[in-house]
Amino acid sequence: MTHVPGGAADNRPVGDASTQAVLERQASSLHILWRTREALLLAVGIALFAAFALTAPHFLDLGNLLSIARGTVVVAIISVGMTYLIIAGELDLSVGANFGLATIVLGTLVQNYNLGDFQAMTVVLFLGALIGLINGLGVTLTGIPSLIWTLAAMFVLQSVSLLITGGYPILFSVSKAYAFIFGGRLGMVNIQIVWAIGIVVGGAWMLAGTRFGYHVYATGGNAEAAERAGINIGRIKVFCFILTGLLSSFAGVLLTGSVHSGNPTNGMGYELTVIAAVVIGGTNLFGGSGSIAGTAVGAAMLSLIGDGLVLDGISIFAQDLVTGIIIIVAVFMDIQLRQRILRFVK
Amino acid sequence: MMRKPDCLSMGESPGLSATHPALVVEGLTKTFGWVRALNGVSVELHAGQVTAVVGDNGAGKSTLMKILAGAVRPDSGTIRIGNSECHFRDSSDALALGISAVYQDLALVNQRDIASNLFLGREPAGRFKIVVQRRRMLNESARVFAELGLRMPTMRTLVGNLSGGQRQAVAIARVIAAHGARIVLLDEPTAALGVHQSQVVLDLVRRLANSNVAVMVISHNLQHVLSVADVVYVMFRGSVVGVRKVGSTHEEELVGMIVGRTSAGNPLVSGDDLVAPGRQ
Repeated sequence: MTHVPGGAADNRPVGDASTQAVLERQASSLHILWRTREALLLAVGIALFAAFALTAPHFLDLGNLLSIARGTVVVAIISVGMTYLIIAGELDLSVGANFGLATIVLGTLVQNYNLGDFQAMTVVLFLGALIGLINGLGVTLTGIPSLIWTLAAMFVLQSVSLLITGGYPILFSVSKAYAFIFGGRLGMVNIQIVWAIGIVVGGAWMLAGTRFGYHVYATGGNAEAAERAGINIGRIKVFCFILTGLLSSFAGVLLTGSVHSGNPTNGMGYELTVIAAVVIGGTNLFGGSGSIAGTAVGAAMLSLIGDGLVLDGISIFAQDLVTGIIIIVAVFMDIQLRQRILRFVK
Repeated sequence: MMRKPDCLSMGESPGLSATHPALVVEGLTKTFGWVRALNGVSVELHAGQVTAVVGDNGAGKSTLMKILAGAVRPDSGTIRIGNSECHFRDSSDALALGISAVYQDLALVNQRDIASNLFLGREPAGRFKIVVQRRRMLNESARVFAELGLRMPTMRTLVGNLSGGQRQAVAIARVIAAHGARIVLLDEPTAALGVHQSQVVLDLVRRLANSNVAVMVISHNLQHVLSVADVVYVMFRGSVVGVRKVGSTHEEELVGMIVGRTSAGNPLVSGDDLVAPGRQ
């Protein structure tokens, strides 16, 4: 580390007192506005939470709160990868199909090919990463938009799942160790929650604190500038696709830890739920900005809505209705704030 | 990693100094299709000097800049840096030789803060080149701007929230800080800037030159040129039609040359700028 004369003092803005004050005020006001966006999201979350806490019986029971957390696990884990991708300016619609295929391949390998469950898991994780790699190379090398490429990939993977199973669920059994590591309990807490928290925290750290994370933001923010600065944007995007594929298959592995079956319908529609979590969490769909923390809140909110509605005795079919409204409110808030910030700056 | 630029030494290198030109180009020509963009252009850039290139749209200013930055290859002509004749295969060759260009688009990531933009693509990181040393990045960014004598808000401010002049300053500071550029090419640095912002940028350009950097500025704004430059090259239809020291010229003379009039009011160049097909 280079010694900087003056140390922390050098971190203050440069310039004379009056200009400095103006600039400082400007910067901090903007900062507050940006923070407001996250605060508002949290406020909506808390309002929802409070509404359910007041109206739904047993909502605040520890068991129920843990069940909300557990319901968040799969979407939260896949959303971490999707956040990287969307910040880098891409999208993956094949995550749900990838997730479903993981449960099927794992079941088939264990049940029909007598492979050990941990070996099967390793194969499945490689497969997930490989699907991500193919998506990434396909998008970056052919120039086909990721929306189109991964839409096709989704259909292909769904079809492969149906071909392998003939359309029927695969039942299989796993060892005690496997069932514990991927679906067991530590006291009252399902171990899957621990996995999800670990991945969210690790993912947030990697995105915010590593060079790779910095380059992901740069790639989605201004691809040409990133490229001119020597960042290999193709490689960054491929890594994001691999990460997303890997996390999708890992979410599948977690599911097999608690539900010992593979079903060709597993994960159908998850791609949109995941994107909803990312967008509600404040990540810009056009790339360049966003955070894992926001995504985690978005994912938790979706799970919260489902749980609260059921406890309130409202049809679970109303869940998507509320989700739809939340998406609109969150993104509308985002646009309003952005415009206000622009007006403030001009 | 980085290729060695293709340079042929022509004897003792005098190095970059105020007396020897930092960069000399002679007889550059470049033709795009039927249009001769450059027609035997010769320019000298000196360390510690601001060299302005003025001319109307299509006079060849941008082509000249792109050739010097290694982004475009000339059809013929020589580029000498110090005492070596160089051929740029692409802009990384020019960068390796200390030549950096700041184009009008500035190549900034608006959603990221000043420090991240200043260190774009070369973020300081720990032992395994993985974890970004954020603190160090912020401190060094502040130091770079302090050395350039620039007032900036905190290094955490998003670049998208900066004024035009501040954005230009970040882009210029980056080529100095990141690439240690000794020859800086600026494309219309004050275009689209207000009066005050322009002055901030012009002051910065002057300070760059005072720190012994060779600066070339392309501009349409003759008042800015006359206030900041030492030497002005006037281009007209792909040729340099005049070189003036700033002290010995005035706006009217420059305007006359830019629009292709001699002092007597006669056309300076006859319609020779179009190359007929097959006549090249």
